[in-house]
Order: sequence, then C-alpha cells, then structure tokens
Amino acid sequence: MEIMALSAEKQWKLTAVFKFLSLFLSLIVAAMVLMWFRQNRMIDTNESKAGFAKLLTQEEVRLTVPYKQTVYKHFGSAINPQVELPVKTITGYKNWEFLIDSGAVVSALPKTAATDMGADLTSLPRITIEGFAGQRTFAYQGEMVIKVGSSEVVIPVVFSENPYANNILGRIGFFDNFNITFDVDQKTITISKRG
Amino acid sequence: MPNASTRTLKWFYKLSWKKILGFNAFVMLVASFWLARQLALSPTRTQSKAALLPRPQEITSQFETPTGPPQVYLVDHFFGKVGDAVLIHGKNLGGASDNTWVALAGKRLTEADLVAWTGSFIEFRVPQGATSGPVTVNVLGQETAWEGVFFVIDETTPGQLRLVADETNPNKAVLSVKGLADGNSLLLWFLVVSGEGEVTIAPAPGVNFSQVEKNLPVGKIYEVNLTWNQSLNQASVVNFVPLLTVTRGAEMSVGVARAELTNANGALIPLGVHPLYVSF
Repeated sequence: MEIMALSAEKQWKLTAVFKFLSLFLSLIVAAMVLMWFRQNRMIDTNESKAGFAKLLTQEEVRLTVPYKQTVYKHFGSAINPQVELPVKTITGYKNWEFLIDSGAVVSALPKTAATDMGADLTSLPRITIEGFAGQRTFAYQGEMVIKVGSSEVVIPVVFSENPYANNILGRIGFFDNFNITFDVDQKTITISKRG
Repeated sequence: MPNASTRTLKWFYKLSWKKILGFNAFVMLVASFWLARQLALSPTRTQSKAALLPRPQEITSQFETPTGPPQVYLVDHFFGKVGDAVLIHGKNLGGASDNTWVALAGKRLTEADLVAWTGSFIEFRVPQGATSGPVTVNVLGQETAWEGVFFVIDETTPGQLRLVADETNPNKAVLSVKGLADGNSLLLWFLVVSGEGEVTIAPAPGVNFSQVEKNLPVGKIYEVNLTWNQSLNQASVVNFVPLLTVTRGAEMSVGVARAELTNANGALIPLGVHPLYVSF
C-alpha cells in the first residue's frame, strides 16, 4: 500500500513538471523569435548598427593613422592615403610607407625591395603589370610579411622591374582581409579586421 | 500544510491539457506572426552565387585588321623560365583568332599560354617543355620572326649577364658575364627603355667590340658585337667578368634587350639576366 501511494505521489508530480516544461518551452521559443526580430530591427537602424556589428563580428580595430596631405600645384590640398607599416626584412622589421590603392589588383614594391626581403627574383614567376595609360611592366610574384597593429600578415606582392615604382597596398590579401575606413571628421585612416 | 513548491506543482497538475495546448497554440501564433512579418520585410536575395565563382582570365584581344605584313621588333625579355611572361612588340599583329598563331622554336603556343594579343603586342607565358629558339608570328597566313633568339632558362643555366650600376655614378653601369663556356663572340642589344639622350659604350680590357645604332618603334637600340681574349672564358667559370662599361644620360633607363653568345661552331649558348640587373 505504501509503495502504491509513493508511486501515485511521484506520478502526479511528474505530470505537473511535464505540464510546466511544456508551457516554459513554448514561452522560450516565442521569446527567441521576438529577440531575433528585435535584433534585426535594431541592426537596420544606423544608430545601433555599429554597436551590434561589433558584437556580431567581433571587429577589432588594428591600426589608426592620421591623414597625410599634399598640396598639389593644380589641385591644392588633397589627402594622400598613405600608411607606414613595418615590413619583415632580412635585418628585422623596417617601416615602409605604402599608398593604399583600391585600384591596384595586388600590392607592389620596386624590385630593389626584394633584396631587403631576402626574395630571390630569379626563382619567382615573372608576370606583366599594367600601369597608368596601359603601359606594361614586368614584375615578379612573391609574398611579404607586414605588421598591422600587433598582427603579422602575409600578403601577395609583386616586385616591379621599374625601380621608381611606388610601394602600393592593393586589393588581394589586403582589401579582402581588412576594412579600411577613411574618417573625414577625425582625419584618420583606420585599418581593422574581423576577429 | 503543503509548502509553496508543492502548491505550485499541484496548480500545474490541475491545469488541463486542453488549456496548456491552447496557451501554447496562442504563443506560437503570436511568434509566427512576428516571424512572418520579419520574413516578409526582409529583402529578396538577388545576388547570384555564380558571380562569386572565380573565372579564369580570358585572352585580352581585340582584333585590329592589319594594314600590312606583320612585323616583330622585339621579344622582351629575350629569356625566361617556364611560366614567365614574355612580350612580343611589333606591328600589324592582328589579334587572337583561328587564323593567327605564335610559335616558339617551331612549336605553336596554345590558347592557354597566351595572355593578351593586340595589333601592337602579344603577351604569352613560356609553356611547359618549351625549348630555346626563334619566335614566329603568323597573322592571316603571313609569317614573320624576330631576328633574335629566345632562350628558355632554368636555375641550372650557367650563362648569366649583369648590368650593375656604379655605386658612385648611377648613370654608369658595368656589363659583366659569368659562364662563357666555349663562347667566343657575343651579340648584344642595349635598348633605351625611357628618356632621351645618348648612350656611350666602352669595352673592358681584352675585349674587342663594334657598335651599330638603330631606331625601332620600341626605342633606340645599340647593337654591340664582342669578341675577347680566351682567358676570360676560364675566369668566367667562377666569377662575373666585366665586358663593357655603359654610360647613359640622367633620367634615362637602359636595358639589355638581346644577347646571343656563340661558340666557334656557331652554336648558341643560353644566357639569362638577373632581374635586378637587367636595366639601370
């Protein structure tokens, strides 16, 4: 009799817990749907987008540099999208100035830079690169290690045969890995990456 | 007297399944309303995934109807390893078509080896298994060849040229050679790549030379023929031996555009130039 009573006691308690869980789960699902909706609505608004984007993408600011301006004879003062970045050479990191160029497919350095970086041009594939006005120059495909903030990044680079070629940061490996923001108010260039 | 948890449990126990199911249905209805609204408001994705697939670059070609027979002025660089890009500069080269082709050492290049083809230049990549030899272009049945020879080199090619600028005078450079083997004469082209002015070429001790100048649409050419004392051949096995001193005007750029090293039997010995020292 005692066993039977215990079993009945357990049974009604189990039923009660089950009913409670049923209601609770239903509320949880509804709450999740509402939260998802609310989150999407907030992302759509400009004010909250930055904060949410930061949470969602874990964006980590890597480097902020001030604008460099040049006064041109014909155009007056203009921004030069130039940054100084440490490049790995055979004698350690050296700070080289680069022009950030979204119009360039790949980053470029003059061929003389290959010596500093310990790259053997004779073993690198030779290609042509098209410059301003469609002029073709030979270049050698390699890689370089740069430091953006505290992170080391390996990006493809071509060593141009033109000894007067500028140091350029192009799209492949740089623009497809980093967000580059030109802040007119702060007069800064920020290079950031998703964490 | 039952405690609070027992009272709560009893309350749930007494709640009928009908009420629970009804409540759940109501909650799901509210949630599905917001879900449906969200889906209805979200923009339709119109971006095709096909646009994200990488596509191989096609030959850059725009057929330019030739106004005369094809001409080849220069094959630049005159040497290259497998996979290297080479430019053929000329005139009336037409464009890539079923009736035009380029051959290296008598072997036609495939479409995969061609990068660009216009009326004034052709770019190709040295194909796998290529051998040194003349570069021939055939446009609509009319054939022409570059007067020089293209050399396919690799890391084992001993013959090397270097045009190294003087540290104290950047307008002056020394042309030196390594791996002369049994070569006894060398034909060289120095091309004025950019700038205007004269180039002065002077031989090193023990070197005899003659010089001819010609103007090509790609730039002025200084053609030099060299012979030398055979003692240089032995010295060139290990070291670079100087052959010439080249002096250019300021703001000019001069490069080695052709080099043919020949032995007593008339056989050619392949030569390459280190990319750092191909021009100054």
